[in-house]
Amino acid sequence: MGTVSADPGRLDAFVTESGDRVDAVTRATGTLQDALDALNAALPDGYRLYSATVPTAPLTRVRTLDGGLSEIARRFRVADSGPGVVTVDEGALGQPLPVAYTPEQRQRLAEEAADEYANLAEDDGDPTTRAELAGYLDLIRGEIDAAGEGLSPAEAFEARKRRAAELLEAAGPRDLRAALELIGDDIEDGGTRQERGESTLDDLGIFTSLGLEDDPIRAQEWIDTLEEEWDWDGYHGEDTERGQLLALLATQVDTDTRAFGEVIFWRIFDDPWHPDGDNDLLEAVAGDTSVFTVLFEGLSDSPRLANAIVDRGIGLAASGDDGRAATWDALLDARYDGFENSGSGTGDDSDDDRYQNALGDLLTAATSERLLPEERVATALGLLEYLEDHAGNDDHYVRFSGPVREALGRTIDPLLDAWIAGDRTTLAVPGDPPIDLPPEAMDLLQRALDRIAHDTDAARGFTWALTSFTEAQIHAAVQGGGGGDLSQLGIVLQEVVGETSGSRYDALRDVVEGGGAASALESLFSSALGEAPVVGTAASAVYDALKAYYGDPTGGGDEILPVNFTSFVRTELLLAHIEAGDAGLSPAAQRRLEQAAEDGGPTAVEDLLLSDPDFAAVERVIEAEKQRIDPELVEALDGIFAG
Amino acid sequence: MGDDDPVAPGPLPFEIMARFADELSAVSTAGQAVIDRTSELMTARRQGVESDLEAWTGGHRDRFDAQLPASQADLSNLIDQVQALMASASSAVSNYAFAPSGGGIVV
Repeated sequence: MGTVSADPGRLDAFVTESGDRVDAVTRATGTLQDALDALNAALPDGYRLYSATVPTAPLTRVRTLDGGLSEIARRFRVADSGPGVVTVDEGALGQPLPVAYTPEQRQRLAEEAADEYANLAEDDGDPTTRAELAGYLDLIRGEIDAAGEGLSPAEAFEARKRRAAELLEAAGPRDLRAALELIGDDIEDGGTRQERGESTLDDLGIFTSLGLEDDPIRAQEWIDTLEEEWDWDGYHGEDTERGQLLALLATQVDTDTRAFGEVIFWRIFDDPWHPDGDNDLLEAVAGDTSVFTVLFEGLSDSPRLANAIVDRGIGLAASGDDGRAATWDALLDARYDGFENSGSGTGDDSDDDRYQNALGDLLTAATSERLLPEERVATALGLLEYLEDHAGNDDHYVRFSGPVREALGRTIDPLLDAWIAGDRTTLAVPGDPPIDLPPEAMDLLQRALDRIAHDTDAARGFTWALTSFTEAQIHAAVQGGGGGDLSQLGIVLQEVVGETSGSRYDALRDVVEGGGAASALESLFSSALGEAPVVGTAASAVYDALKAYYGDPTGGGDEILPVNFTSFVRTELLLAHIEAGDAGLSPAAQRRLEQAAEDGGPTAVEDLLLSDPDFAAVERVIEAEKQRIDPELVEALDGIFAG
Repeated sequence: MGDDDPVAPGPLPFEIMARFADELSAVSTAGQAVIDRTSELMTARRQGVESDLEAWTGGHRDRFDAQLPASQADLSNLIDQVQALMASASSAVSNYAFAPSGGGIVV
């Protein structure tokens, strides 16, 4: 093992010297937060900013680095208390780098490690240490991953499963229990991630889930055995800790597997432990929150598992098992109070937000693009039906939290292809026969779109679904063509037209900047953003679609359409006005603008801006805009203003 | 619209609009300061630490919880977020100012 040397004082100096800069960033962040608060306070009642919290993540990373440097300096000092540059073994700073084994060596070592693992439960007078367990699992994990190298993703998954199953063949549930208990000791002892045993837990989760994936009966038997041998009824003492470890293990399964994670989830679902048990282990790894928050956060990376759990959950309502159905309903309810019933007991708002965000992520993962089309469609329809059945009227609809409603918006993604194509009975799948849709599919989609049109959260999710649209689909949608009534889609697009910031803005920008960005959306949304004030043919198409839905907006009918379109144009005018004001608009001119606004509203303001030489700068801006606007739309907008 | 989303009451007097413009200017100035100070900090860290850290840890830098000095991606991300905040603030002003009576523009 080599050695390294450094002056511990120099490491500390970096922390000290950068202290001023960290303080400067902290102060600037505080000033920005104050300014945002002041702006928020200046807004009239009922108005607020979309987002008013200053991000601090980079600063957090710098502070983490400071902590790391201080720790390295400390270790040098421990190794040699003398002054100046001191030398320590690499081992004092970190574990040695992995040895590069030949394939034959790696295979033999992994098999020896698997033998050791399979004897874990048998204490033959020479009990396995935590470090040995970590070593065994590291070797096994290396062999499993090596089995998939150089193969296609599907082939690699099969090869890794096969190798894991071979290595897990001689092991049993009691070995798993012994491993979990050793890892639990590590976590309880704290320290770094490495020292807390989390990487060992990760290796164990990958190994076990891949090894049991093709044998769900064996997976169930393992958990049944643990249940019988542990005091599982309400979890007591150490068995609460074991339950926490199982929950953590479920979050570490291979993200393509489902069998092992599923049996753990439903075992915990049926018997979550009581709040009087301390969740020390969960807290050490995942923070102070409930077990379901931890599970949902972990499972959202595993679409097949999330899909299986959500499918079974929404099926509970029809199963006749009222107790389990009620538990599932409670988990999806915005008023879910799992933090008193099965978790940390803190019950504060941040816990609640974290839980609802995790739930939204789980539901989104359940219809992930990584799943087969038929899996996505079946779960999407089931979820839409479940939410509608449990929503009832609008009052009940809001029982679902924002993240869940956002997930609803995302969930409809796989159904939109059928909608846009105008064929309501089948869903085309490239390279495969089309999937037949059930008769109620389009009705459910129509109801979901109706929700989306009136719910900002759901619309935000829908915006993500837009990212998978092709340009032709978007044109079809905004033009009301494509063989069907797309007016509902037009309403949603109308909503996003008015969006200029926030997460939907970000999503829209992703659409615009993505490789498959539709020029239609680009011109439409960039105009809404005011970054490139162009209202092109796509906006005209939206306008036509909306006009067809609402009737002629200039005829004094429904106000929604003209408000959205003209407000966009007027917003541009306002910004121009502010810029002109900064450029030296006289107090008299501002007073005249104010008077015009009082007397004749925005139309009078616009007239003034366009006609009076005092506002020539503004006029130039407006004229420049009009040069870039599609002539037909200019005519339509002129009609609106005239009306 | 969700529960918390209000409806705009009507056109905004220009004197209030001017006040919003002042507040917005303060947000813009403060936002730029955050970006500038963070950029300085990150530059100093990269220059001061990155090469030495590799030597001090004997090539085992990745074994530590200590992160690399905050990267350019971090800074870009921060700039995006602060600019989004400023855009949100700008939108709050402009949407309110031109929301016609009963217009339903949500800030």
